[in-house]
This record gives sequence, structure tokens and C-alpha cells, in this order.
Amino acid sequence: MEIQFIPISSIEAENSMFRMDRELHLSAKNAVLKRVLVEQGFREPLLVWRDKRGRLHLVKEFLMFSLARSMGMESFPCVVLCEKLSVKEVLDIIFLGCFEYIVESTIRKVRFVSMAIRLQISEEEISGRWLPQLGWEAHPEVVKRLKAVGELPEEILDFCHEKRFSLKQCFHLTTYPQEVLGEIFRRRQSVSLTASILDELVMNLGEYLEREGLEAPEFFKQPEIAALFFSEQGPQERTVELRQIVLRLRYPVLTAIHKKVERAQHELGLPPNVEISWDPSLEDESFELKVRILNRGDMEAALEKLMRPVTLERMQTLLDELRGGDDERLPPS
Amino acid sequence: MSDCPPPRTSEYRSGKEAVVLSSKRGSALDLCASLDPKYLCCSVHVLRAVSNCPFECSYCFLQNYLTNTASLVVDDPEALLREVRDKVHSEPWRFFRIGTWELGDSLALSAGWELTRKLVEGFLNFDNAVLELKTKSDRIRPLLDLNHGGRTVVSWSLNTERIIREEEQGTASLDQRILSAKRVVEAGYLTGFHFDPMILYEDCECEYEELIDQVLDAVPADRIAWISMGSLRFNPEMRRTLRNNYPLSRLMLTEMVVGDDRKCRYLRPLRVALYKKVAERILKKTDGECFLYLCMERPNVWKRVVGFVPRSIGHLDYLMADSLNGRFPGLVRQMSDVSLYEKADRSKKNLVRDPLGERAKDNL
Repeated sequence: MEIQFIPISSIEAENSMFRMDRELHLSAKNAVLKRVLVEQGFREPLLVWRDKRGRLHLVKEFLMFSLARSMGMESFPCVVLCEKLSVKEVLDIIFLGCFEYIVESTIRKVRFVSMAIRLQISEEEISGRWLPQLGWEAHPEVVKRLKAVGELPEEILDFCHEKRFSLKQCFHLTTYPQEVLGEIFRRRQSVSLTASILDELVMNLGEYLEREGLEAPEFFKQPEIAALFFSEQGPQERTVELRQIVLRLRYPVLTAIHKKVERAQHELGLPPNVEISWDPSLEDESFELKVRILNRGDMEAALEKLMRPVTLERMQTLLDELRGGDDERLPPS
Repeated sequence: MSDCPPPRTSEYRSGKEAVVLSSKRGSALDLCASLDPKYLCCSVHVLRAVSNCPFECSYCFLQNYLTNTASLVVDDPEALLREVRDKVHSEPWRFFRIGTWELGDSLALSAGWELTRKLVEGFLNFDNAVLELKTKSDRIRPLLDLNHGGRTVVSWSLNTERIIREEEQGTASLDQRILSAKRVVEAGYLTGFHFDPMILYEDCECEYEELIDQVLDAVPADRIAWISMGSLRFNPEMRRTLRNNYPLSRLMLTEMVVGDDRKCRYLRPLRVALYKKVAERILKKTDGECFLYLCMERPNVWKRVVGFVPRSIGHLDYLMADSLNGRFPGLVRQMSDVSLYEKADRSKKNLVRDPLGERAKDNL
């Protein structure tokens, strides 16, 4: 294969047909690459593909290319793959040459498949040719999911890559109300997000907003929410509070019952060695008492307190609250 | 009919487009739901004669349950009836209710009518069982001239007009369903009504009460074998599926909690409030003559809604048989002691499984 020195201006990099993703610029890696470039120059020629209109598309080593360009290099040693080589074959070269890079995360695999879809490779072809090697079943449903994930905004894909989300977790993001997801992502630096927290927040907030006919930007402008994001709390504390607010809004009846139950529990005034618990879903309407005993006196004191008429009366109040007043309560409007 | 495996499709809607006749593969008769003791099941048996359904109910669990979504009709009534015969003969003391609706609508597929006809006639040979054909359709014509011998109950899954309009696409209207129920009763069949899934929305109580009035004004209570009530429930994964398949549906927006059986349900106090209103209306309209039960509900909910709690799943099974025996002489050949029902229930405990739960895990 002939190696040619090609001027930088003649090579499509940002607009290359084969640009798989936005490169993740890891500074440490850049420094190593820069040193290699300075000390040894290009150890291998770059691969470019000439399309029918004569444009040269960079095939791989996008990071090396941009580094070299930033260092002021004007031309590169290249091997030109001619247009006789089909797009599919070029993708095979990328797949084999960058296999380890691609399979490092779900999102990179998704980006490879998205590139194939963008280059109009048929779904059957993608399914049979690459999916099994990427560890997925060659099934139209998988392609459908990959396609949906590939259409998520770039910053969300970067987040999924960073958190090493599975395909299932990534796909869940496509089923969320996208406006809500976007609003939360816009505040990503102010909160602490994991896959499960994101799932809970977006799902509950989305359903609350839909039920109330509100838009996501309006929600974040509400005084309580705006104050939360202006507060000096750290991301973790802020996230805890945001989750509580969203749960309160999403589950108003459950929250109200819990409040009453907690008040009734507080009024019981149980001794410190007696713990009380109940089913937070309220499916079960009983409560449990647990007594911690170190000696006979602990037991006697606990029983004496528990058997007082006022305590028994308050226990009944607690039971009534756990029942949730279902005799009177109407379904929500 | 060939012995080839039935075609496989995985997309929920595309499976509804064509119906395939298939042979019976493996066991087709089983108990309906999970036997989680915290949620009482009525012990109805299900005969898997159809799979998938042409209707589009947004809340349908099949969209999250079927791994093969092809619409299938088991075109081997003899084999199905043999399995039923073996089962009902193995427990002659028991009265069986056997439905064909677990994985689809009993009457919606015209390709299944011949099978239905043979099942209705086949059940004439069993004196300790009754066939339940449950539907949301008005496709009853093939049933009207059959010799059913009173051994088939044609039942309807009913909901308010608003829910039928918004969430049960393709099904018969409420008026059509009620008219169909009248016609099967005129043809000598017993009927049943399942107000399930009851769905909470603004003014739903009034609309469910109106629904009860409409139905019970049209159909005489003494021809109603049973009435059930149940509320919307599904496994948590369904939230996403429903959002994908029916983005305009508002079903998921009401408060729900996950119960001990891992199913999402409305908050207990909200369920109880609705059930109580509707149960009161049913009992008033039928003078307490009908057998009213709750589908997959907790003992505490039973207590609040109907004032008593069956002490076990076997006890509830017995109570239903006893009620049918008292109201429809000759239907239940031998009314056995409750202890046999309860013993059978206890003996099943080692075999308890949750097919929906298992399959749900597979879908994750």
C-alpha cells in the first residue's frame, strides 16, 4: 500500500463519514500521545477513504489527527483507501482495528452501530454482521433499542459512558419524558446522579408534571426548587432534598398519610428501647413493636409504659392513621 | 394444522395482525394467578387455548408478558378436553371453574370459534366443572345455538364508558357488551361480570355506580354466576412498556405502591373507597344474591369492602362452589366439605410458583 503525505486541509475529520463519536479528551492520554508525536512522529500512517466525489474521509485515529493539527503539523502520512472499497468494508476495518476501544463501553458500541445506521447499512446487515461480536443477540428489537439510544443527546451519552451504563439502563433513558431528562441534565453538576436516582427522579417528576399539566422549566423556576439550586448545599445533600420534594409531589396522598402516622407515632412517646415500624406502602395496616431488653427491668418498664391507657388510646389513633381513613376518602380528582 | 413450531414474533402489535392455528404443546391447564397468601386468588383454572388478542387495552399485561406475540389458537380441542378430563376426574370431589382467557380474549378471534364450540359441547361431559368464556367483545353469535347444558358461563370484563373509549381500543362498546350478555342469558347461559381493572379518575365512583346500574338493570341477578372486582395492577416494568406503547394514556399518573406480590397497585385506602361504593351498589341491586368477590386482594381489603375474609384460598374456592350449588341446582354435582378444598390448597403450597413473576424477570 502506498503511503502519501496529504495536506491537513484535504482531510475531512470533523465531518468525516466515519467519525464515530466526540473524542473523549483525557488530558493524561493527550500528553502521552503528544510526546509520542514529538519524539517519534507518526508511527503508522493514517487511514483515509476517498469517496466518489474525491473527498478524503479520516477513518480512524481522530484524536491523533487533532493533536497533530494542534501542534502545527501541515501534512500527514496517509494510506488512501479507494472508493472501490465499500462503506461496509471500511466499517469492518474500523470494527477490527478499534475493537477494544469500541467494546469498552455500551455507549461506544452504540456509537459504532449508530454510525452504521447513519451510513445506511441495513438493519439486517448490522444485526448479522456486528451485533453478535458486540455481545448482543442478532435481533431487530436490539437494533431498535440501539437506534433509540443513539438518538439521545450527546451529553447524555457521555454521562452513560462515564457511568458505564448497560444497554438496558441506556434504553430506559429513551423512555423518559425527554424535556424532564434535559432539564435535570442541565443541572447535572449541582446534583449527584446514579442510574437509579436518575430513574426515580425523571420518572416521578415526569409523571407529576404530566398529571398537573406543568412544563419542566416551570417546575425548576418554582421558588422552592430555585432556592434549592441556589443553596450552598453540596450535590449529594441537594439530591436528597430534591428527591424528597419530588416524591412528596408525586405521592401527595401517601405523603399526607405518612405525616399523620409519624405524628401519631411521635405522640406515643415510646421508651427508647421500644422501636415501632410499619409497612411504608400501607398495604398492611398493622404496626410492629420491637423491645430491646438487657435485663428484667427493661421489660417491666416497657410493658408498664405500653399498657398505660393513654398509650393504648394513642396506639388506636396510630392504627386509624395506618388505615388511611379509607371509609371516607374519595379517589383523587 | 402442522406440527411445526408456531411462528415467533416479538413486537407486540405485529403479533395481533394474523392468527395462527397451532397444535397443543405441553400442558395447557393451570391455576390462574400466583398463590401469594397475602393476596387472595379465587382458584379459577385457566386453559391456554388462545394467546394474544386483537384488542388494544393499554393496561394489558400481555404486552409485557408474551415473549412470542403471535396470535395463536390451539386447534386441537380433543387434546385440550383430554387434559381437562384428566384433571377434573383426578379431583372428583371438587368443582372446577375453567376459563380460556388467561392469555387472550375467549371470543374475540373468529379463528377460535370452532374451538370454542367444541369446548362448550365438550364440557357437557364434565359434571364437576364449568367453562368460563370471558370477553370484551360482542361476538356471541356462534354460541347462541349450541347445546351448552348450562355448563358454560359467558362473562364480560366491564368498565366505564370513559375507560372503554380511552383505554380499551377495538373492544365492543358498553352497550354492545350488555346487549350481548342479555342475549346469552336468553340462550340459557349463565353469565358473569368482572369489573376489573377498576381505574381511578375524577368522578370515577359515580361512573362505576352508573355502570353497575346499567348492567344489573339489563341482566337478571339470578342468571349471574359471579361478579368480581379488581383494581389496576401490573408489574413495575409495565410502566415503561405502557409509556412506549400508549404515550397518551394517563393510567400511570395516579399514586401507586408496590405490594408484597411485586405488583403496582393504587394505594389501599383509595382502592377500598372505590370498591366499597361499587360493592354496596352491587349488593343493593342484586339483593345480595350474587357471589361477589375481589380479585387478588388482601384480607384487610376484603374485610373493609365486603365485611368478611375467606380464611384461605381454598376456602374462597369452596365458597364459590357452595354459592353456585345453592343458586343453580344441578350445576355442582357433589358439594364436598370445605376441608377438602382447604387441604388441596395447602397441598399446593409446595408447588407454588409465580409464572408472571418468573416471566417478568425474563423480560428485564
